[in-house]
Amino acid sequence: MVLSLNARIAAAAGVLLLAAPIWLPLAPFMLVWWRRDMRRGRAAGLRVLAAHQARAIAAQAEATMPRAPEGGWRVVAENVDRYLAQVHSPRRWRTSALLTLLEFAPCLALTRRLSRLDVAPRRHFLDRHLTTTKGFRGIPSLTRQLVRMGYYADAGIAASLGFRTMRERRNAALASLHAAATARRAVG
Amino acid sequence: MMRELTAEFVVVGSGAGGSVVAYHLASAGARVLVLERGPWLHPKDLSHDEPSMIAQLYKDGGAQTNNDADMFVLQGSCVGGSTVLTNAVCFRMPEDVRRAFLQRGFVLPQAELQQSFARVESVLGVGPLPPELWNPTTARLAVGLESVGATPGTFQKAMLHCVGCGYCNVGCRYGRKLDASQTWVPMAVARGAVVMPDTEVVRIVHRGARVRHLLCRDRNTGEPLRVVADRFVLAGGAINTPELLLRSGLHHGRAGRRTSFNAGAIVFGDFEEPLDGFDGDQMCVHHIGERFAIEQIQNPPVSLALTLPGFHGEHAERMQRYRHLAALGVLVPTLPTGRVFLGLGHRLLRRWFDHADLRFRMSPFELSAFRDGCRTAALALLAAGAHRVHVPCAANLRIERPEHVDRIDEAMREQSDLVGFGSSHPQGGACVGSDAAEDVVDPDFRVRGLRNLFVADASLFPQSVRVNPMLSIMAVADYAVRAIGGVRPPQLIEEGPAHAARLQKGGAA
Repeated sequence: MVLSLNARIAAAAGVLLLAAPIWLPLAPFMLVWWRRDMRRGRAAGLRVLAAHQARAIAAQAEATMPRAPEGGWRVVAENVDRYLAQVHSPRRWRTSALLTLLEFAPCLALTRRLSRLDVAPRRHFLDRHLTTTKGFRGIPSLTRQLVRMGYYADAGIAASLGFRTMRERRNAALASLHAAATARRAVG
Repeated sequence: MMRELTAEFVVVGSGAGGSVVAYHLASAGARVLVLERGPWLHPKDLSHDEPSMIAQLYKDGGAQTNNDADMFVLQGSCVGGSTVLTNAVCFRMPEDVRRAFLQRGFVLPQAELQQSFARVESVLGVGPLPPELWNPTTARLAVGLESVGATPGTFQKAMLHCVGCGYCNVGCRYGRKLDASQTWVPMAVARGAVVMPDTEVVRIVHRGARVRHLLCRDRNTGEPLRVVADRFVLAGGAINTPELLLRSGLHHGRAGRRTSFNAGAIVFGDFEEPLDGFDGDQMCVHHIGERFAIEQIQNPPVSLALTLPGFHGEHAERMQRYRHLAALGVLVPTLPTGRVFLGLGHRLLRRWFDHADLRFRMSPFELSAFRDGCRTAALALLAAGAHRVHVPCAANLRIERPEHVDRIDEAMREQSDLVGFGSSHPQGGACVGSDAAEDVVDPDFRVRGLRNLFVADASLFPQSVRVNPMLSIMAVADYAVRAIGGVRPPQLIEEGPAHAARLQKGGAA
């Protein structure tokens, strides 16, 4: 049986409800931690992400991508933050929540959270548990798309793949069309 | 006190359907107000920064999925709607589809529909894609498609002096793609229509058989707004139009049903030598078959990374071959088995779940057609010279020789086996038909039970039109204005950038 995303969220909420006696006493501390982590995110120049969410993105990128962007792995998180900040949708919280889930998913396997794992065990965890399109593990797996977006949006990484921007293209006919269009834009 | 606006006609949505209706009504002298949920971005506001553009132009930042989260559904959310995000591909509705519509009571007389197509095409400047814009993978892919018995054709496109940058799907920053935001919308505004971007319609308020007003919300300030008019036209597209009807308590149990798609995913071929497919138009050749279509699609880095199969290190390795990759999209017209509905979350926690849910799963028949399409695309890529093919499934298939394509059957047994599966062409949900018990909209484009509420977008289609639907939506909207506003469009529309270019060319000659 395939459970819908919302059904999985509802199931998770049900489990949380049953576990209320455990976490309810801790809730005020969690709230304080969450607020502090959001403030840390703002202090680091992030507009939407909490600090732990940004760390989760950078950690996944570091474990799965071949080389760091020139500005370091943090650039990947910044690109994702920039993307999320411009999305106007009631669904946006779900995307952010996925990143929190990603950061703490290793704790379910009784290890440290993702960004605190060394690179090798982190890669092992991601390869072992988050390479699926099905089931509960499919949910934190969705974050790979955010990481890819943040990583390949870096101009240096795109250039390292051999991608050339319009200014650098070899196709002379198209490049001249581009130059003319750019000039017209500047005038307009 | 709530701000109130009045007009003769209010059009909800400024995409392929709404923009055409707004233009014709404004041309006839009516006071027209167009409400658009998304922002109004002009070419100068657009860039090649993919995440930023995806966030601003796409509904939900491109993250709209079905309920099972194994299918993405891309729709525009900006002035011009999804037309801003298309590759300017134009196909007329196939005749067998028009006949199938007719059987359900959706009457589109052939001669008048062809006139509508001709009128719309003249505004969009539709013509064959010039070979000088082909990207470097195109000739090979055409040969590959031919060698597997497919018939590669060149796309008809709505563009003017395209520069072939390959970023069509994040809006044309050069203003060369003649989408609705470059044609119908400014033409409507020049005729007196008023466009209100960033304005979301929350609810349709009716009394008896008459819509009184729309309750709206300014998305920037949150300010509520009441919009009063004589007639209202819903043109927010499939998913959004049935969602609005459901939100308003209209046609529960019927609105949202019969949602269909052109759905698919991308097959990639890895070639020994660098091809640099990014250097030119993204979509140049295609093959349109009965059960599936194959369309070339060459993406810039971020979009390619989001659709390329593979996990983690394997995906990164494949991305390193970016210059060597050529891609063919496989599209399947699905049966109208999808459903848009308001889920439990919407009822209980509206603040967090303030959107419609979408249920859709491919049937075994559609999955079989999709597998056949992937097999054909894989064979075409191998015939074109690819030394390895990546098919859109979670399993890491090794396809290096034609006999390997049989592995696809085993790897794609159900929808959740696929990666990068989705649709940019949702249709249906507020279908036209003669069955009053089942069809939301009557053959006069009027929402059943409401005298002054009409629909003019892809949600009208009782089944998938099988090809890229932009032109069909525009032509149907062009035809619908007779019923909506009593307007008979002129034989020729002599305005807009394509017309100006034709005049200039004629003058120069």
